[in-house]
Amino acid sequence: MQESNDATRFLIVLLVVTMMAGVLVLVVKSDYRIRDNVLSNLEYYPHIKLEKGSD
Amino acid sequence: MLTFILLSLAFIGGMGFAVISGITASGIFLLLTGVFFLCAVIPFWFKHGSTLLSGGYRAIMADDEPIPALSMIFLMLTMMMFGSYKYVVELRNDSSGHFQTICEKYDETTIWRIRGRVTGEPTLRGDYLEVIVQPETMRRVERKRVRVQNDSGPGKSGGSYETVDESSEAQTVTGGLLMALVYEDNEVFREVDFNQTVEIEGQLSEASEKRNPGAMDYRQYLRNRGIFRSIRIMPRRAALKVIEQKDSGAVWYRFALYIKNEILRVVKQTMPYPESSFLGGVLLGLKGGLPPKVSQEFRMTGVSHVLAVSGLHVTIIAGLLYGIFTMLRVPLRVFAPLIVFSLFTFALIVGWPSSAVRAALMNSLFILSMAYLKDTGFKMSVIFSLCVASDYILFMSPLQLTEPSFVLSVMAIYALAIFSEPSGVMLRRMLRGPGLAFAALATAAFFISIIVKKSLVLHPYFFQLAFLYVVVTCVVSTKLSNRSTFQSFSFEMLPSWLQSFLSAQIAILVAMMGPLSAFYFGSFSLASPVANLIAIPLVGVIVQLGMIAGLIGSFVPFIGIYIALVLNAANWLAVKFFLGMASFFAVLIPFPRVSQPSFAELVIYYLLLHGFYFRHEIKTWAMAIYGAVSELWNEPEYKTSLSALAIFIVVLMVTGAVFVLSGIERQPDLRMTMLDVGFGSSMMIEAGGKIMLVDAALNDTLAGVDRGERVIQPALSGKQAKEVNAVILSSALPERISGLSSVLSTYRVNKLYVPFPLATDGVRVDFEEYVRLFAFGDIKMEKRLKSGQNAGIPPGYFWELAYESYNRLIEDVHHYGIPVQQIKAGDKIVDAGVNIEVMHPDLSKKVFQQYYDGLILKISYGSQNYVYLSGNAHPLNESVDFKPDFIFIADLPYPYEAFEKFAKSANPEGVAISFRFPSAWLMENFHLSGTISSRNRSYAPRLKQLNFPVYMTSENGAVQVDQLRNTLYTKVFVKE
Repeated sequence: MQESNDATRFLIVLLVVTMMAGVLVLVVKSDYRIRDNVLSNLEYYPHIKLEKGSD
Repeated sequence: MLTFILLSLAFIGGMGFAVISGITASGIFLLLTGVFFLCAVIPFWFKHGSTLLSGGYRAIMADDEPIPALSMIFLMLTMMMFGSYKYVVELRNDSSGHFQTICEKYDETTIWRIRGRVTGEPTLRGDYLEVIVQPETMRRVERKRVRVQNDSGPGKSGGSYETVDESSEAQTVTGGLLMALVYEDNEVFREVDFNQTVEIEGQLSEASEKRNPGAMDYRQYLRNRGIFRSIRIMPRRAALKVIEQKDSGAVWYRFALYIKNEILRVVKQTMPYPESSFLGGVLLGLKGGLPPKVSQEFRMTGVSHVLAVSGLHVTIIAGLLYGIFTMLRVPLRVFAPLIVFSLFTFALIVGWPSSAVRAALMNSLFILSMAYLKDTGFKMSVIFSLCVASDYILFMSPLQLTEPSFVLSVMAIYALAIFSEPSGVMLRRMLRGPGLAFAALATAAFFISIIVKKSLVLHPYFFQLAFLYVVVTCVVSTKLSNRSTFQSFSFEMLPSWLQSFLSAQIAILVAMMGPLSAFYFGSFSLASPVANLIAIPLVGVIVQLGMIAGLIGSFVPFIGIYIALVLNAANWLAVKFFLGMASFFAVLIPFPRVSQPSFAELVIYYLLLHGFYFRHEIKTWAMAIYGAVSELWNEPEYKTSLSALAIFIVVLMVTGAVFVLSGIERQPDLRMTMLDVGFGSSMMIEAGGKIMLVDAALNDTLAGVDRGERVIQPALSGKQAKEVNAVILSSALPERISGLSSVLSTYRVNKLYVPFPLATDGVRVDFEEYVRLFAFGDIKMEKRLKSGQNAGIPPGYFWELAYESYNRLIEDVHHYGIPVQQIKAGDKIVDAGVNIEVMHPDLSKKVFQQYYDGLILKISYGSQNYVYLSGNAHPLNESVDFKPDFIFIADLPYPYEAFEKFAKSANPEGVAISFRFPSAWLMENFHLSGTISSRNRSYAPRLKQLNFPVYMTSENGAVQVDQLRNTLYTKVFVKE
């Protein structure tokens, strides 16, 4: 039980820290946007079409 | 449980026996399976027959010995024979409808029209997609030009023509797969997908078998995957048409593919390239798309396994799901089946590789036993679950047994299960107080030494000395730890998870990565112990975040993709750090090649490793067995049986020794191997324990193929070379010298002999100077250069390559401090186990002519003489005053008449020619393209008319000539 509580705590802390770091990256790095990512990935597995959410 | 483990080992051992013995008689194995099974039933029936008839199964289970020892022995033999049978049956592909059988009837120029189904998700590999097709029907196609309208009168030529296809009857294919390589300049590159029915038209080719010593057998590798032919889909060469998209097929697989594509879509939207390719690799097993430089850095730092979607990934996913369900307070008994389903879905997503299947099975067994069998006192053993997983994988695809991915995956778990704990004990005993300080200092000193002086790893005995250094460090650290009372810091003070992690790393290093990396790949990453300390925890975070982001982005409507963007923006930092870490260690720590151990050496290593780790247990068992045998020996009625057993064991050992010794090849006095390096040449000479290279093949930077790295290095590694005693370069052409650079980076070369001028000061020459040093034999180009055109820059790719290769050689010679000697006719080379005399050129001219001043060498050993010819046959008849027993030629000889006159008068035992038609880009501005084309066409029939065998590397692969006393033995790697 103690172990599973630790795992849960780790997961929550990881998610919170990740969200904060992610927002920081998006604020600082102005070219980190969905549209830019889609463009840079055009040749990466091109048969995977990006209809959804690609602006 | 022990019974199951023993039977599993017997099953796998049986497959191993089939591999080693090479016996292919499946009927015998099946017969023996039946016979041994009957033999197993008899003692069992004798003991439990009456109980069985009365239905007392529980009484049998409660018996001290439910399966009598004799039955157990015969059951193991049954499983062994069954294992051999399964393996041998899998090897057979000779049914009349099998893809291989149909293709074998026709040569490679046959054009086929094949209709089949795409059996899996296409895999991106560089600039092409690898598409696996299950052929359903195939027919031969013949193209003919037919006159459709004759408007020029009867009996006259002219009129309108068109191409008409004539195809044979369609044949139904019953087995075997085709691999289509769809290049990006095809329209179907973006269309081809799983479950489509496609039609392919073009020539099929069979993968290359082992063409060189130390090389990989790619044909066997593909056959182990069920693939028998491949086809390159390129415009004007072969075509692939999508006929229809089927929605049928396994629902579960389609579901897995749907999840995969959704997650990949999210990855492409939320992380930029090339970081996205790394995330796609670790998350979905998509190795393609990763920049080659990054792949190389991963190999050098020993972290490529993170891309292999190994057990590590499956365990991370299992842990993530376990954490999420626990957080949501769902009982284990409810979510256990969900985790099992998810793990197998994940294995499907990543392409069902043996490592992921193995890990999914093992994790599922653990979770299920924890959920449903805990109350019954059932405790899952790692070895038991490993046996279950291995049995399943090998039962389904027996040919996996020899696949590195399967062996590495199984051995990783075996190493963790068996060696982790004793490694932890050793570390705890060794790393205390001054012992810890000493070990830390010694480790730091080792890494600082190889970082500061990278050439240390080129020392012929580097690995032996490094091993000794590690042993001495361990012994001294342990002694210091035992003696000192000052132990305020120690390994034991680390958190328990860190202790376990470090112990596991040691176990993996000594019992899996070290020996198997050397055995399979002939390399060992010195950076891997350090890099993996960072890589493994980091990849745990990256996979978990990537998976959460992928699932949220795919299935949470509207805001999901934006949450995924935030999560993967943070993950991008971790990925960046990972890539940076790999790049940093790749630059910092050298990546040496290791001599590839033989299978017998590998077995001996593992025996010694087990002996060392479990010496106390082995001693206890040995004492117990000795005690029991001594006791029995004193009983008169057992003496005869024990004597018989002892004799049986001795006979078995002697038979085994004879079998092993008979397989050992007798070392010849002299071995010369003309390697198959494609366009270019390289010959390896071995005598008296020394190795010499004559020419070093081509590093074609445009094609990204370095034959020095791909052919010469593995050949040296396979021959367990510690250094190269001498290298002779017959000319300064790039196809003779450019592959040397990668050889120099991994092997110490003691001396370099060249017939052309070569500076040792490391200062590059400019192109004008290069032009002054060499005459090219390219009349057009020389005319242009003389008139002042193109004087400053090379006029085409070939000459740029030639110029760069020459400069690289100057830099390398200086960098590695290799002594260089310019040689000319009359010089003798004696420092490589054979006597070599230079017959040509005499160097009376100022300028070295690339094509006409190439070396002619006389190689002598005992009473036998050989000649090595650079290609120019003009001086043969005047310079060579002896009759060679064998002739080696670095290129098609020119002029042919001069060669033929010489060869006919010498009448050698054979001729080996290194030849392959050069790639198109090597022909740019290269006046000999027409000559080579016509020579190739006209030479082949003329060479076959000679009354001694002529071997061409393009057809025969490497050609090996052995001299044993005064007899020559020739072996070709590819038999026609």
